[in-house]
Amino acid sequence: MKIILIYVALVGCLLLGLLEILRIGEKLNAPANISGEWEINNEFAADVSRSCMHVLFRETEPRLSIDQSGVYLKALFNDISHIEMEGRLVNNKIVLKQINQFKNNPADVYENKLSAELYLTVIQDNKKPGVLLGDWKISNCDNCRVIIFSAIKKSGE
Amino acid sequence: MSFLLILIIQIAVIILLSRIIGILFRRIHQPQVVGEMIAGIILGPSLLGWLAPNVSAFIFPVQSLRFLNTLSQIGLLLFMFIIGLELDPKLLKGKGHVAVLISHVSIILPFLLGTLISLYLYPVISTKTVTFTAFALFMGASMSITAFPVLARILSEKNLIKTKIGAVTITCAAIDDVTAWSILALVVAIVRAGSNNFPFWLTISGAFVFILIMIFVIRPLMAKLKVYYEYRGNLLTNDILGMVLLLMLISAWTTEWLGIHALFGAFFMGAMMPRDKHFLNSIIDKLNDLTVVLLLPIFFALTGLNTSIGLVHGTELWMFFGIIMAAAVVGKMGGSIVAARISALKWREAVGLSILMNTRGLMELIILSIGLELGVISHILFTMLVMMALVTTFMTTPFFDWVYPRWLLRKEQEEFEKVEQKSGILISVSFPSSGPGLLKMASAIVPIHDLKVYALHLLKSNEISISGLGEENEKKDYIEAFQPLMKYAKANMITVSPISFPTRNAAEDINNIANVKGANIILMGWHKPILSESILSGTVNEVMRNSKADVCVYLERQFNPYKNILVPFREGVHDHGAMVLAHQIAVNIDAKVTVLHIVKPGHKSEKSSDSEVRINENAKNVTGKAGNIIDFPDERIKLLVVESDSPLDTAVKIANHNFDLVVVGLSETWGLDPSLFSKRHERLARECPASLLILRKYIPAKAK
Repeated sequence: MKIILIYVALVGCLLLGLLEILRIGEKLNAPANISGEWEINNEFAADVSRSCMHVLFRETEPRLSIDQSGVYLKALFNDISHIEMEGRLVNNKIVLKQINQFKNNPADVYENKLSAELYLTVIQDNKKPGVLLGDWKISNCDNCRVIIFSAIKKSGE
Repeated sequence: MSFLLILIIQIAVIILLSRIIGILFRRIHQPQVVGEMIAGIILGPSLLGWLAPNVSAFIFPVQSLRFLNTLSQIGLLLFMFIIGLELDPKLLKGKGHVAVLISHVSIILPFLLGTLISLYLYPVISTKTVTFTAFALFMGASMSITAFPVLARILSEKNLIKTKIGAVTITCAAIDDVTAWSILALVVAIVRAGSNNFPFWLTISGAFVFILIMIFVIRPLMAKLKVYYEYRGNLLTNDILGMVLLLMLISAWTTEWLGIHALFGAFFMGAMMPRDKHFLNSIIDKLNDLTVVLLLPIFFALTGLNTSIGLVHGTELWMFFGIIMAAAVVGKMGGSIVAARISALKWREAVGLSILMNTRGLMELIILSIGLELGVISHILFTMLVMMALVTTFMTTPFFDWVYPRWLLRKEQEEFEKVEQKSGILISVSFPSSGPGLLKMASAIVPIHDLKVYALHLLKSNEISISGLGEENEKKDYIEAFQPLMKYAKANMITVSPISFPTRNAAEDINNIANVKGANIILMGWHKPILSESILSGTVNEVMRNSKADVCVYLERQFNPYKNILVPFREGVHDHGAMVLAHQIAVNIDAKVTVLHIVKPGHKSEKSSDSEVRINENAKNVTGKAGNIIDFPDERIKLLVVESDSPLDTAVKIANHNFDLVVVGLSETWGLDPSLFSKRHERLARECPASLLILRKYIPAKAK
């Protein structure tokens, strides 16, 4: 009888605690889901090809794939260099920085110390596919200009 | 290269590495399965992908992983089916509230801590597509699991099953397993609610109907299949195995369709199979090797391919990992320690138990793969939880060895064996036909799962031949004597150790065997000596006089299950013993006991209250088992106080009223003194229509 009472008291208290946690947690907000494949605006590819990074995007369908774990992001471009970036998503603002080096260096004049950076805003509307909008920058390059970047979430993602 | 060629290379590499690492881990006294899990991690981006990305991309191209994934899922279905087959209901039943308390608290506390840390992790490590409830419940479930198979392997490798801590742990882990999987089924149903065609209420009601069909249709069908298996000479034909696998797949398909998960269906089908050791073992034998050697390592490799330790970088993420580890370890160990201490386990036992319960191993990986597949957990969280599973499993053996050094374990094993030996019942089988009745009574005295029976059949000296044929006759007699008893034992899953040898002094040998085997009860049937009408004379009398165990003589008259038990009670140690025994039987077979207290005329009013108090106190003693667990209320015992000058007449008269079993202490009052040689005695035995169980309680010399 004593064991049963202890059981009911212990398990009961723990279950009540669980319910309270679930109640509090319902008010929490998690980051937007941006993981998956994104179609990069062709104008961006064209802009890049006109810039100092001109041969990076040779693909006819420039794409960005994002692997997301909450605020932590890992992005991969399908460009020649397979640029890999890491960053965070905070309040719908994304900051991504390149973590690998440029492979098949498009121009001998560029050294490996160059790296790409992306500053984006997530625009999400339940009825429309998500949009990423922002700037593409190359750090350590005085001649490289900032290029406007935009991408749309691939349908079915 | 074709996908088949790639698949063959992949499987070869996986098997080779898992065997090598598994063996290495066994060498360092870790369960082999931990090594196999590590082998999976090695093959993934954490090591091979990091050191040799080209080799990794060649062996495991992304497009080919779906074939591996299919094989891995089949492997998991078979593995969960085997886990269900190995589920021992004996472990779940009758172990009292202690194991349930420890098990449930050790689930709920880590579950609570898992949901608590979700308040911190959810906004950082999840996304809006996953609700907080789903995330938190999943985190809770992943924190609360205990790996029953790994634990069972550790306990058996260390020979811990035969210790108090091992016995309690394995019971708790079995309860844990069933409870945690039930919780996880619910969590998966909640997570999937709305994402498939079924609304949540339909999933739950569908699961309920599924369980009913499994219990009332499939289980009896499986029992018939077992009969067919026996008819085929205990041979598991391909047809039988095919039928079993087909039903397992249907069951898995149904639960997947209902939105729970295919693994639950496979597990449940395993649990529904008839609990016949031979039948189950023959299925396990056929499936186990292929599953464990080929398919599970593929699952480990896939888990490893999804685990990228490199993802966990930076102070913040390592801090998250620390929080997850703390919640898992503190929750599981803390819950187990608190519940074990409340249940009167010593500190060392409680800590040892908590370390063992903290083993997560393979079961955790299965849960995590479900979570990743459902999208409830992200890759980083998956990696952290896999690391947590590995660390908690890896730490079990060294930590346990530290808390329980070998010398202490050896001492515990010896003590446990001594205690275990003293809970046996020795059945003396004179005639083959009396065997089943005696065994039935033995299983009424001690619950089947705690029952240790030695069946003794002694060959009389005139049965011993000095010719060569004697041995043949002995064998024949042995088989004949035990055949009905063993048949009954098999049908009721009772473990019986048969003993038979020639004797010149039956009583002496019965007592010797009882001593050697540590039996605390000797149960005998009707032994009517040639020269006497008395039951309690001859061998029975001799056994009673010299035994160091309680002796019960059983006269079986009714074959129906006993519902009403009468205990004539006056005074003395045997009467008290009879009451204890009657209550024990009542608890085990769900019967009621009437204690007939006979007092002298005129003493009823003044003595009944005293008697009532005395008997109720006794009833409390009856219900109080070792460990102070009170299993049943005293309503099972009714007290009937009757005034009479002739207790025997009254007992005989009342025994004729609707009682099906009379349990009586050896006493002159009831005409049951073996020293008497008159026709008058044993009237209770002759005139009572109910079955009779006569008890002679052993009184140690000191007590006398």
